[in-house]
Amino acid sequence: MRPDPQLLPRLMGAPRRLALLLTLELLSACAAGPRTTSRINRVQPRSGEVWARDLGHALGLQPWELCAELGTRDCVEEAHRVTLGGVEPASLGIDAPLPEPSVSAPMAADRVAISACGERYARDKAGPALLFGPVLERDNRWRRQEVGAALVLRMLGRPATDDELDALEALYDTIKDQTDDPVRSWAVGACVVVTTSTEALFY
Amino acid sequence: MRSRRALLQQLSAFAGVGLTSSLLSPKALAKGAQDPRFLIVLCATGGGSIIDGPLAVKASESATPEVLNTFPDAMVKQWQGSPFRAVDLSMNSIGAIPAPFSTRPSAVLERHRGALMVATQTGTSVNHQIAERRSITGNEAFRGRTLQELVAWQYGAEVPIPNVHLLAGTGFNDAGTDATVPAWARRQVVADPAIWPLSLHGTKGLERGLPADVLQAVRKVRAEQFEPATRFGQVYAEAPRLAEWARLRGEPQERIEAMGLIEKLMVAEDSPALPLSKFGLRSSGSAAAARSAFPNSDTDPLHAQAALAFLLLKHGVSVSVTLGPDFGFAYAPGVSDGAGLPPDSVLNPPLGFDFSHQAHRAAQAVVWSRIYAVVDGLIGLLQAEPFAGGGSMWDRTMIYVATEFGRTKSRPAGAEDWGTGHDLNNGVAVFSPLVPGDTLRGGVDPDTCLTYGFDPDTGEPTPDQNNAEVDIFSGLLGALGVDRSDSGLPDVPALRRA
Repeated sequence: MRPDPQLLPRLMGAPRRLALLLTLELLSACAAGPRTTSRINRVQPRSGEVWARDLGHALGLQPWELCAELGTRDCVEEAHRVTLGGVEPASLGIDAPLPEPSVSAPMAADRVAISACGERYARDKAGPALLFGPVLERDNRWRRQEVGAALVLRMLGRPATDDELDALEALYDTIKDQTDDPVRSWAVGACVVVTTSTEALFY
Repeated sequence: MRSRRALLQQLSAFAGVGLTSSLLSPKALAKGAQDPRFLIVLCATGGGSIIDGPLAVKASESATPEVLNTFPDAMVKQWQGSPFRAVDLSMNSIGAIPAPFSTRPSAVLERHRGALMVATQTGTSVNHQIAERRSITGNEAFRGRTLQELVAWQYGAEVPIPNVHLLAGTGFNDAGTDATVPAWARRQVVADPAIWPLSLHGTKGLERGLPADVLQAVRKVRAEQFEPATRFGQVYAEAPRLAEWARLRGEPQERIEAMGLIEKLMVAEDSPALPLSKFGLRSSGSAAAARSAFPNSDTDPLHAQAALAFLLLKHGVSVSVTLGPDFGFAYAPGVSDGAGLPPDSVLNPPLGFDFSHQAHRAAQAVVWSRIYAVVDGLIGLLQAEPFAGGGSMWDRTMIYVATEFGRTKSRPAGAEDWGTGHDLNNGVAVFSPLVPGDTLRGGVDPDTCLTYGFDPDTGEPTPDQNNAEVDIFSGLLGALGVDRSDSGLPDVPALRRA
């Protein structure tokens, strides 16, 4: 059989085409920026106990000072224990966290956070302040940024980004005319935003 | 706010075909929501023996009454033309527990046997967890879906929490295994009926709460600005767990808060232990009626469950509720004469029906009495509750007493109380206007105390064969009008009212 006269040129052209394709792929990747979404998405909920420990640490409160329903039932240990992903093997036979979140879990988390953030605000107002001091002394955009940065650092364990601080400032713009006490509403509200964000509740 | 039905309509349109004849069909969901049925699964946890309940056997009927679980003739109450019986029993103890008790099941059957159907079955497991699960899945007969999920799916598309489990930790509370069952039709577990309503609002009733419009702004900023700005939110933007969390924070949360369920479902009354008024809350407007029907709701977990079950159905929150006595000891202090515990102070023996291992006759009598009391209370409340489309809520309700399994039928000769093991052979009790009332499907052989089955079409007794979990499961679904097309389930018309 006679060799194909075009075969040699084709073989010699292949590396050039491959290099061109690789270059285009690289350019395309650079243009799109780094991939930002996980392909695995292995996200787990923190149990109420773990989340509450972080919350207490961030707000300088003991676990039993965070929230008590009707002033009598500890929210995390008792009232919303199973709802927030805890177990109750002895009395209820629930020896593993519910595999799917309860329909009331987001509301229960909000209640705990509002109560705890409200407690921190009340203590800071009575002094000495731990977290909300800057806005209690003088409320302005820069002071709110200072508090927002402290909230993110204390709860999420990392510095806040500008976009996150802008989001918290947007909260002030929304509520300033809705409430008689915009300082408290913003302080407690921003605290709830950060402490009940998915980053705080999941890992 | 988009309803689940609207979302499913879009899904159906996207899919093009294939959804129109199933439970997913928007048309079927709309119809189900407007014309619902309600399911109450009342769990006879631990093995409720049907021959210690409505199918008691008289000694004179048996060839060997001394060594079988039979009752002296004089103790067995019967009604003319009815297949059912009741044994009013008084004893001085529940096995080793020195607690005298008296039970009067005859009073409940006197009132409600017209709505009672008993269907016999021989199950496939005497393991508690497995038998319980098979009681609600028909032994995985319909792609692993549970009765509660199917009812919630068909009738609960427009209610906020269709499938609520007020009992936890048993196989009756298992989730189904069919991933195609919508998330909203799956079980929601309530750990403590007295406190759970407090988790149904983000801020109401808190000492240091936030104004409602501020909370709304907080949630909006959190979801639309703060979380998307975080690296965590960006990396896991497509995570299913976070998508489900976002879904719960959306329509379900809005509906639950808007309906004021934190108060509408509050059974407890204002008290030093639960100072509702101090925190700006009050009991449900129907709490007094519920507490009247279930007077021990402060001390007896079963009464607390039953009271909340009624409120969940009445307020259109759920279409399926699951409740029952658990394995815990429930005790109501009273006055003792010094010889033992006060009379009727043991509300639930440890292990519920399974205390039959130690004291069969006493344990069965006490716990059946609890079951009957809950049936009586729920029927009374639901009969008094008009349904918007006419009639009462009871007209469209089924109480399924899921008995788990039976108990061994023998006893030491002449023993007045004794211990029993687990037995596959048993039956279930169903109270409902949707089933043939005052009717027994199957029967009991008095010479063995074993139950025998029935013809699924005619309901005629079949002494040579037994029915399995799947027959009960399918029959109850049929009585509830749940779509079983393409399920492969046997049709059991004998279990639905003609």
